Amino acid sequence: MRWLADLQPLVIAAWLGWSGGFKVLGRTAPLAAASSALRTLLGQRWALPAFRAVGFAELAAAIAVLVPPAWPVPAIGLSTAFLVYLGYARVAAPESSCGCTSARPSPIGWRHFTNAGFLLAISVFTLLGNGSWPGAWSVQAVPVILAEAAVIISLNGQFDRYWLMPLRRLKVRLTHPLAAATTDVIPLHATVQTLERSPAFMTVGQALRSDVIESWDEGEWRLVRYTARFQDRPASAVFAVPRGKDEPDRVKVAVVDDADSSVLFAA
Amino acid sequence: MDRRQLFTAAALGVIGATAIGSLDPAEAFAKPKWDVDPGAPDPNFVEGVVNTIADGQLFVKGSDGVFNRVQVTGATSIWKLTPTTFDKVEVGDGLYARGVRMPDGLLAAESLWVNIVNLDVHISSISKDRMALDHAGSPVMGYVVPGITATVYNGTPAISDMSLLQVGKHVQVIGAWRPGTNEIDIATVYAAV
Repeated sequence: MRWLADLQPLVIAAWLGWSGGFKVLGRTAPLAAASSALRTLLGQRWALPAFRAVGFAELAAAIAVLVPPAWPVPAIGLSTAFLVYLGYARVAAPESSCGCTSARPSPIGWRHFTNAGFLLAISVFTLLGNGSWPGAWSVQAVPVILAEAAVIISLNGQFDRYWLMPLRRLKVRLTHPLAAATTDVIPLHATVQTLERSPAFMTVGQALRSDVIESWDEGEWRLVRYTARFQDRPASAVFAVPRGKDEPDRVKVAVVDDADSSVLFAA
Repeated sequence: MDRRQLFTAAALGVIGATAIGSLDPAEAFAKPKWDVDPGAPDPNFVEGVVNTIADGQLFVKGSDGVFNRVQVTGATSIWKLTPTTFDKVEVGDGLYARGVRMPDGLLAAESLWVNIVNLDVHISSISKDRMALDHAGSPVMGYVVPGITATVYNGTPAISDMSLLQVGKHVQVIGAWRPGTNEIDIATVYAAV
C-alpha cells in the first residue's frame, strides 16, 4: 500500500502542473477565465488575475508534492477548494464553464466533480506514504500510473475527440442507427430548393406573401401552394415542380384568384 | 372539382390564364411597399410565446414582454416542423409571425413559424432515431422524423439518407423545438462531408 501512496505525487503533480500551466501560460487562458464562474464571483476586472493566481498556486502545490519529502497538504487544500468552487459555480452560475484546463466550453457537470474528487482522494492517500516517490519506482508502477492517467483523461472532455468520438463513430458504422430515416418520400425541402432556383419562382416571387401553405403529389409532379397578392387581389400561387429531379427550368406556376378561381397568371 | 384539383390543373397548364393574366408581370409587380422606417422595429413582425388562442387569434407574449395579437386565416402559411394547419398550434409554443399590421395593432399573419430553431451544433452521438447534439456545451436532443427529416450535404438537393452524418462533426440544424425541453424534432440538417 505504501508504495502505491508514494506514487501518487507523480499523478498529482502532473495534473496540477498541467492545469496550472494552462492557467498561467495558456494562450486561451483569458477566454477560459472570462467564461468561468470566477467572473460571476469576482467580476470581470478580477477574473483573470484570480485565474492566474490559482494557476500559480497549482504550480506551487505541484512542486510541494513532487519534491521529496512530499507535502500533499496544499494539494488537498486546492482540491477541496476546487470542489467547493464547482459546487458554488453550479448553483450561482450554472451557465458558466469550468475553464479548468482549457477554454473549451464545458458546463460544470458530474465529470468535473468526479475529477476533483479523484484528485482529493489521491492527495489524501499520499499522506499514508513515506513521502518519497523515487524509492517507490518499479516496473509495477507503470500500469498504476497509466491507469490513473486513463481515469483522468476519460473524465476530461477536451480529450473526448481522441477516444470517445472515434468509438462512437465505430458504433454508428456497425449499427446504422439512422437507417430508418431513409425513406422513398422525396423531402419537401428538396422540392423547395429546386423551386427557389426556378425562373417561374423568380417571375412571381415578388407577389408571394407567405411561406409554403401545403403541398401534394400528382404523378411526377409535386404541387406547392403559396399565398400571393396579384394586382391587389388575394390569390394562390401554385407551383408544379418535377419531383425528385433537380430541374428548375421545368417548374410551372399558376396564380389563381381566391375569389372566383380564375387563373390570373401562368408561366 | 375540389381546390387541389383546380390548383393542379392550373399549375400544369390544363386551364389557361384569363385575359387579365396576360398582362406584363413587370407591371403587375411594380408596386413595392415599404412601410418600415430605417432603424425602427419592423411593425410587420411578431415573435414570442403563445399565451392564449381564441377565434383564429393568437395572443403572443414577446421576449421583450410586449403582448401582440396575431390573426390567422386560411391564407396564412403555418410551419410546425412541416407545413401544417392552425389546429396544431398550442399554448406555450414559441413563434415568429410575419404579416401586415392593421391600424388597431392586430397583425394579420401571412406566415407563421412555430417553435422553429436554427442551431449550430456538433453531433455528440447518434443512436436509434435520434442524435445527441452539443450546442456550445449545452446538450440538445434532436429527434429524427422519418419522412420529414431531410439532410442537405454540401448544398446539394436534400435527401432522406442520414448515413453520411458523423459523430463529432459540425452541422446546422433547422428544427421544431419541443416547448419546455431541450429537445427538438429535426426538419433539415446541413452538413459538409
